[in-house]
Amino acid sequence: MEIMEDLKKRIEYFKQKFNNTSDFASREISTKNGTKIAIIYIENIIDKALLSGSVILTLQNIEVSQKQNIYDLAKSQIIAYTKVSEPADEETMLENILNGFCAILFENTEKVLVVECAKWIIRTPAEPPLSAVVEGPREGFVEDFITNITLIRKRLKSKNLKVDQMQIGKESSTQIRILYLKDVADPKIVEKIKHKLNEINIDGIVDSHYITEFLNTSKHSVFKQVGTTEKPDIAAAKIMEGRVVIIVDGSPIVLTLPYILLEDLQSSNDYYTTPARATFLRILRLSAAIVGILLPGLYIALLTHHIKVIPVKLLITISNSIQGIPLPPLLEILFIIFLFEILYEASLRMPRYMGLALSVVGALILGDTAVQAGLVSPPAVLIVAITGVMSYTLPEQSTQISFLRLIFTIIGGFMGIFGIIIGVLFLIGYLVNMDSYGSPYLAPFAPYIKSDLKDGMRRRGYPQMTTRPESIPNINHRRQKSERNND
Amino acid sequence: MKEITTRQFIIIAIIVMLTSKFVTMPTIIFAGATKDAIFSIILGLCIELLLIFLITFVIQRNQDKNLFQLLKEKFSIVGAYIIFILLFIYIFARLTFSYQELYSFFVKLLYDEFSPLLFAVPAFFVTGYLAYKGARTIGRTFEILFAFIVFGAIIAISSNLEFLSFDTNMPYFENGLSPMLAGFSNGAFYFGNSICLLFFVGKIKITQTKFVSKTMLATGITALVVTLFCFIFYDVFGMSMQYTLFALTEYSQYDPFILELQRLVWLSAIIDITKLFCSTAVFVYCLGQITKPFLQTKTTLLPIIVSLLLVFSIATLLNYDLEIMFDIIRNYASYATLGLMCLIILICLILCIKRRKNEQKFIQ
Amino acid sequence: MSKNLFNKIVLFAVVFFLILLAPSAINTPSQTAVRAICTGLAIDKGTENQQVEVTAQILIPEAGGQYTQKVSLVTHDGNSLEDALERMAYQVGKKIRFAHCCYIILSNELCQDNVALTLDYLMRGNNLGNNTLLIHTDKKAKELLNLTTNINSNEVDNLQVITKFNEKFLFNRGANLKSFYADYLSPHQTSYMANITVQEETADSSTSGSGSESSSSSGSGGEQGGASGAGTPPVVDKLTTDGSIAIFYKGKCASILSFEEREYFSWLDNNVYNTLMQIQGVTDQELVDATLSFTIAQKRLKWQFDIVNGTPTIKINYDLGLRPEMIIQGNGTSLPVYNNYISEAVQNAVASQVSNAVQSAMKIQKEHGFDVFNFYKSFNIKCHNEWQKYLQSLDDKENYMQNIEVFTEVSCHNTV
Repeated sequence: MEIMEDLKKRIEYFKQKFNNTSDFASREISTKNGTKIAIIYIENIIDKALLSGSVILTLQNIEVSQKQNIYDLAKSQIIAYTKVSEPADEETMLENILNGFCAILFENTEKVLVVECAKWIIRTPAEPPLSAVVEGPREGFVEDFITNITLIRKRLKSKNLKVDQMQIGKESSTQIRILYLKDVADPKIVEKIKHKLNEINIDGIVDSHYITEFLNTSKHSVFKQVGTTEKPDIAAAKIMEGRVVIIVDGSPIVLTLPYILLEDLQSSNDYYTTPARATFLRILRLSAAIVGILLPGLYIALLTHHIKVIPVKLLITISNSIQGIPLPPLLEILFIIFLFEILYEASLRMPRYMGLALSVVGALILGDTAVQAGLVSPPAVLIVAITGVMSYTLPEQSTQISFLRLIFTIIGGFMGIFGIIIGVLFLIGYLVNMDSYGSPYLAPFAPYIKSDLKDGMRRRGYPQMTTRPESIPNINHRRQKSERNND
Repeated sequence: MKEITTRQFIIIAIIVMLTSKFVTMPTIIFAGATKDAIFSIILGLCIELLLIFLITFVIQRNQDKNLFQLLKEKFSIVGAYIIFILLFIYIFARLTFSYQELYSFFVKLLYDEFSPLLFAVPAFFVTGYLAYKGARTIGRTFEILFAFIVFGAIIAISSNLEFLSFDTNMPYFENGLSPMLAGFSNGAFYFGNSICLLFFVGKIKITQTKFVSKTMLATGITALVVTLFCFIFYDVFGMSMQYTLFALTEYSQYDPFILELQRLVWLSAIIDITKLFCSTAVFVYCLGQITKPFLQTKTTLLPIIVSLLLVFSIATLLNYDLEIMFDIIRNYASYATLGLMCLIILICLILCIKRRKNEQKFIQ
Repeated sequence: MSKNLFNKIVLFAVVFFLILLAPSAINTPSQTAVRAICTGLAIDKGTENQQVEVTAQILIPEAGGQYTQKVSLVTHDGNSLEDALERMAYQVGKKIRFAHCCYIILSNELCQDNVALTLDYLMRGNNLGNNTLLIHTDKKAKELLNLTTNINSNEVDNLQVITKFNEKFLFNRGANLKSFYADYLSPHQTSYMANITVQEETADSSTSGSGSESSSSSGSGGEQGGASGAGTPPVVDKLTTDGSIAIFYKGKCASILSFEEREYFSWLDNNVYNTLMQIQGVTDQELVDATLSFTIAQKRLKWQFDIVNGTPTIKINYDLGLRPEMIIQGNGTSLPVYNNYISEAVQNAVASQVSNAVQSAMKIQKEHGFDVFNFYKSFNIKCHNEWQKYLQSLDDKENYMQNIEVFTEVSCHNTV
């Protein structure tokens, strides 16, 4: 360790290290004995009250007797207020300063102390807007990873819950935490995930979504391959199933792996209501998703290729409404889908008070005017609107559903029902091939895993869920003693 | 390489067994057997069940080798190649027929005009894709679709139950056994479907006990379903059968009481088409497996492309005309299939018996 | 070939294929624009040297049109059905789709020849649903079709509803294309069809709605359906049915059974309920020359087919549950209906009435040679060898009905 003797020079040296950044600050104080001490830190990330009230005041009041040395004394006194440590080397020290520590330099000694007095702007845990529950915990993750770990630990007070740390990003030095239950999660999977994370060599990570793309097993797939959640209760439940949770500092979105399609079907609401209702909701969601993907395609297919499948009275209604529409059916539907997607996107980006007006009024006015003007037909608007609503029953997959809907619409227009059958077969063939860290993507339906169906389309009661899902690799299969044993 | 589970194999067996059985088979058999057609079907199903029994038995006893290695071991390399050539001819014909049947089914059921090329390119692509991805993908895809297929079969059977009179075709065997045999010889081609299960030798992870009995139970129920479907079909349609070509298309329309909603029953026909596609993928897979030793490659891509190109050219040459295929089936293919089935049964028996002797030696 | 390259080639092929198809796919108009959708067909005997005259009811989409859709009638004649329909397609300028065809109306004139041969084209063609209803009319088929030009008017519903009702409660079997052929091709060769007639009626204000609508909208090829009455009140055609059935034998219309005749036939059917029964002039301990009306609440038949000395005989055991509705004595006083009036005299009267009905039905069948209840099949199943011998002994095998004898035995009880 090479720390210069003269305090001033040393401060200057460190300032140089931080490229003369304007928020680099230093304070020079002296103890009662007159020993000079310098404190350096980055101004905007420091809790100033803590710094002056605890660190500086303590240091100023130190009286060094002959036996003691100032370094140990400072350390032992400051520790009463906050975390103090000796950095192993200069690099660590600089890193610590960037993480909201202040470094204390002493006259006549090379040793340095780093004192934690960071003050990040942290949101209080609030209910995340995308995963609201009717009855259930309303806490959500925040941007601070320590708070997030706290939220999970609060639910899993287990000595087996292991938090592995990692840092990714040459510039951002983002803190990554990998959480799993040591006696449940498959060590091979944990190793594999860590290996994948270690391979990342990127300048910076701003959000957890940066990592998901490195963790994807199929690179070009449109399907989601890494689970995300904003709620600690979901994360805790997933850890208990043997999954690995990755927390990225600065992101309220926590990643879970391995990920299977079924997870989208399961909403946290399901677990806070009766099994029968949960089952009903899941069937509803699945059918909504299927309809959301296939309906426009089927409509086009029936209209342009197979009118004989449409019952007479429905055919009359449809043929009357599409009479005189200038666009061919496929273009018409594509046009409306385009319009709706734009509306959705715009309503997200608009300021909130305008967004609401745009999404409701815009859809109504635009749709109605287009129909009135004879540009589009009412059934087409209706179908796109219905499918638009349906795709949001699976909020996590809504983008994929929109994409697939577009594909199936085009195929339906090209080739009719034949094309749709071909498309569905190809899609299923593709999905069953996908694999996420040892979990088949469509498990437990393909391959069929009987024990996992307890929480598949049908949710059984908690007393029946005696085992962890087999589709998620784990080393401890049993979750609770079976009912019979309990009796 | 263990690729599929027992359950997946059973589902594959069921779907392969059902191939064409709801579509063109009832008509062809009726043409020969008229009122006794149902017995031709029962006879055929019995033989098919025997075949499946022996094949599953072979599968259970030889879990570590694939079919070619097995045959090479028992019948020398020449014998293996000869058997493979015979199998190639059958599966090739079956596949060509499958595509033609699919095409005609589409045209009859759904389309006014449908260019064969527009049909062929995507159909070959998707079946080829599934086959290329291997038994695991096929097995899992079928697992997903199985619930729908069961649903389709239930609709197909239940839609006409109320018109059942049981005695439309009675008395049976009015003219002795000859019509039944004629019907059987017309349609024997359809009962050879299960031959392709041979290619799953050594690919199944047999974890369940009673593998053979479970497979037999499932395929037995399937046979019952086929019999029930055909019985209802023959009973409801009576002599007007001669006007029908695709059982299911006619069948789904015959629902006089709910005229407006009758078209819901189309669902069953559409599901059946999907099922046909699935089994076609299995045939493509088998054809790829057969061509592999001939082309001396390790990948499956080349064999599949080569065999699909062959099938494509033949099917295009025949212009996807079903009538030609029907003539071929009636006059040649059915007898050939019957012969092949006997041969396969013989081979399976030899494989089982020889193995047993070896085992006994080993024990001693 | 590396996997990456393979994927790229596959992707390229798919995209290429899609781009190749894109222009035609995007330009594909709705099928409703390029197909004429036929919702009903009427087939009449052709005039002069043409065999048939076909009238098709064709749907015309109307922008902003209402749910109640007008259709137009197009008529063309030809040597055969196929010929006429093909010419009609040229006339319309579109391919005609029959998948939505709900009914085919056949005129009596046409039915004098073998209809099965005429309809053969429709049966084989892949367009027409085999559950299309067949309707027989004793006038011109086109006139009946003309009454149904408004798709959602009462007439169409009537036509379908009536036929369906008939199928279920009067004939106990389908009266559609498929069942027609199934019966036609069976040994008994006897099929059914609903009989619906056009009746001229003086329109009063309450019924003018649908009637005038339909007649005013008659289409391009159609004549005015007789609605153009000169004077007031206008004469409006209405379709009516009295439950009569057209019986076809060997594909020809052999007889039209009136309601009363059909009642006779229903005694021979297990599932068709005879609803009411009236017996007159009953005298026993309680009743004097009384008239009794019963609802038949229960009807169980036991059939016994036998061939006795070369004569096919049928014994039918009736078990009837009768619910008295009205009992009027000879002197005009009515009796309470809750008593049990089934005495031996009543039993005998019922038995003789049933027997008469059955014999009348048999008489009609023997007269025309048709076999409505498929006795052929029953005999063939129950006593196969004797039946075959019996058939051998006949000069005309198809005329097997002649010697069949039917005996009835009735037991009845009172039901509440």
